[in-house]
Amino acid sequence: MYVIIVYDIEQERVAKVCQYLRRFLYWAQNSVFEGELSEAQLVKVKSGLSKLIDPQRDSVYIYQLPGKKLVKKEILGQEKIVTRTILE
Amino acid sequence: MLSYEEFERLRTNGIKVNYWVVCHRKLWLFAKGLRMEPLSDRVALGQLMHERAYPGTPRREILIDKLIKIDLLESEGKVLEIKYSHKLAEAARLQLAYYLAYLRWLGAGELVGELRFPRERRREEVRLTPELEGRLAEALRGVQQVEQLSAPPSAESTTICRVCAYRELCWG
Amino acid sequence: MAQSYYIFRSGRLRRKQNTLYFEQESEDGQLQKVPIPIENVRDLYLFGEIDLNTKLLTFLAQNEVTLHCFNYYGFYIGSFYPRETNVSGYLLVKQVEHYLDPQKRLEIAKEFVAGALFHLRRNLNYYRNRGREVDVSLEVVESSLKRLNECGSVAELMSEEGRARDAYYQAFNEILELQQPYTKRVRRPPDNEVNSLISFGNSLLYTATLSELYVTQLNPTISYLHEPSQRRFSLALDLSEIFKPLIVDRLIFRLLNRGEIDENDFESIGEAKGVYLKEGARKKFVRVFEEYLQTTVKHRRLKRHVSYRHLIRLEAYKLIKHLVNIETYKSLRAWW
Repeated sequence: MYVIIVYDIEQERVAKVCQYLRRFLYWAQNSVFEGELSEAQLVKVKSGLSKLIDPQRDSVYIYQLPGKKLVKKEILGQEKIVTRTILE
Repeated sequence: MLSYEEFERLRTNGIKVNYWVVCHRKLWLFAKGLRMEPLSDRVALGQLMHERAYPGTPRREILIDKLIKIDLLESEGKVLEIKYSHKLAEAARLQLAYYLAYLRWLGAGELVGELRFPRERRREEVRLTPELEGRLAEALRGVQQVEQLSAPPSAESTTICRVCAYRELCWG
Repeated sequence: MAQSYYIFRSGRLRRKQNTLYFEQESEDGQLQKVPIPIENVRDLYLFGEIDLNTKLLTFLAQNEVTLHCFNYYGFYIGSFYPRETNVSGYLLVKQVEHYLDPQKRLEIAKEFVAGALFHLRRNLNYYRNRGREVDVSLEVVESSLKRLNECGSVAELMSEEGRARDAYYQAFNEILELQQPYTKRVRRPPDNEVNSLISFGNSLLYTATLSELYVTQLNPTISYLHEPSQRRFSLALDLSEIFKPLIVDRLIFRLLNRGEIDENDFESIGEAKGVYLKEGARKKFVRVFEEYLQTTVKHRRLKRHVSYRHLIRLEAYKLIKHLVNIETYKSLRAWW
């Protein structure tokens, strides 16, 4: 499935969350990650995140889409994401 | 009930008891080291569920003789077996019965087990009755028989194959 | 969800914050960092001049990622094939048993050749239906296919395959619009454009096959058609025979006939005979190769769509089933 994760995390924890998500997904822009995950990977991501955040203060939204092909994405201005698997 | 000598001779991995109920070919392949579980997303989901279930309850995992992995619910002294779905409940039941028997042979006395299916909010208590022990003895003898087969047992494609980690190996 | 990553840039690949980073110094001295999500990496292809250390290799091994390296000319130089965690001594014994028994070895080798020739014929038929004069080659391949059953040794099998392949390569002059006629397959180094493309494509397919074998319990050094001593991972050579015409050759026909790659995309190596693909063409090839491996077909037995890449894995599973006596091996015959 295709997953978009959006978060609002307090400064002292944000770097850790960002680093953690980099292991699974592509950084799209500030506080946004996206990419393809299996069901088990998503559970793993969620359980990893819940250990890193403070549920009283932080907030993470997870959007799940059935597949990359079903996402219609438009970008205005700069595309920052690097999802290419061929680094030229 | 198995004699101690027979238990010594038949002692095996807990998963094999489970697989004996589910599919003899899967058991045979597993026993020969042709393991497909590491590639299965469903198996990974099951493991994660096991780790994440009941976060507030103190549990302890104990690996015994490198054969069985017991999940002990400390407060109640129960042996837990957490499964994704109750579809293969009989396999889980015998696997748990095997753990209980194993612990008894080690001198832990009469323990009580509990099957849990957190996704379905179901639980089932498991005690070693003579009837259940009879089925366990049959399973343990069966595991050894299957392991000794030089050719793999035949298998039929059924609905449980659809979610099996071995599906592509068997039917691809 | 695993992906193959192809790195053409030069720089450093390192483990950082529990994931992979590719770092490169840009012209103004700035360090550019590209994170690569480790949990989604199947294998890495290094084409650039890249620094790495054992800390990185340890990390790749932990995550069961294979690494394939290519030199300046784009020639394959070797792979990092991490220690396997999922092994079966039983299967290894069976693999060896089927190698040592000439009859058993021949049976498997024959299936590899049968699959390969079937796909050679399929390509020729495709172009015959489009009006190309490939009948002569087609006849040779047909007759070789028929004679496979009479082959009593792997050597005979090899020479039958060689005959079919020579005829097949002759048809390249009909399939492709070439300035210089294509005469024969020359390797190490390739001596013309077509051979250079075949070599490059085959090395990509070989490494893709090796990555698929890595996740199975098959030992990649024991093979049946090729001699196990021929190359380190000769089973990958065996299996890729079936897929070469299906994947690599089709890509070459497409790229050359559509003019996506032409004579300007090649360069000679000094004075010596030898031709290699320029970097731009290499990238183009890799891109279409990767796309091609991801295209799917409906699998009749599994009743779902599987990618070409996954068909390689399924081929390995079929071989396992043969070796442990579940089902006689029948190599892939493209049904679509």
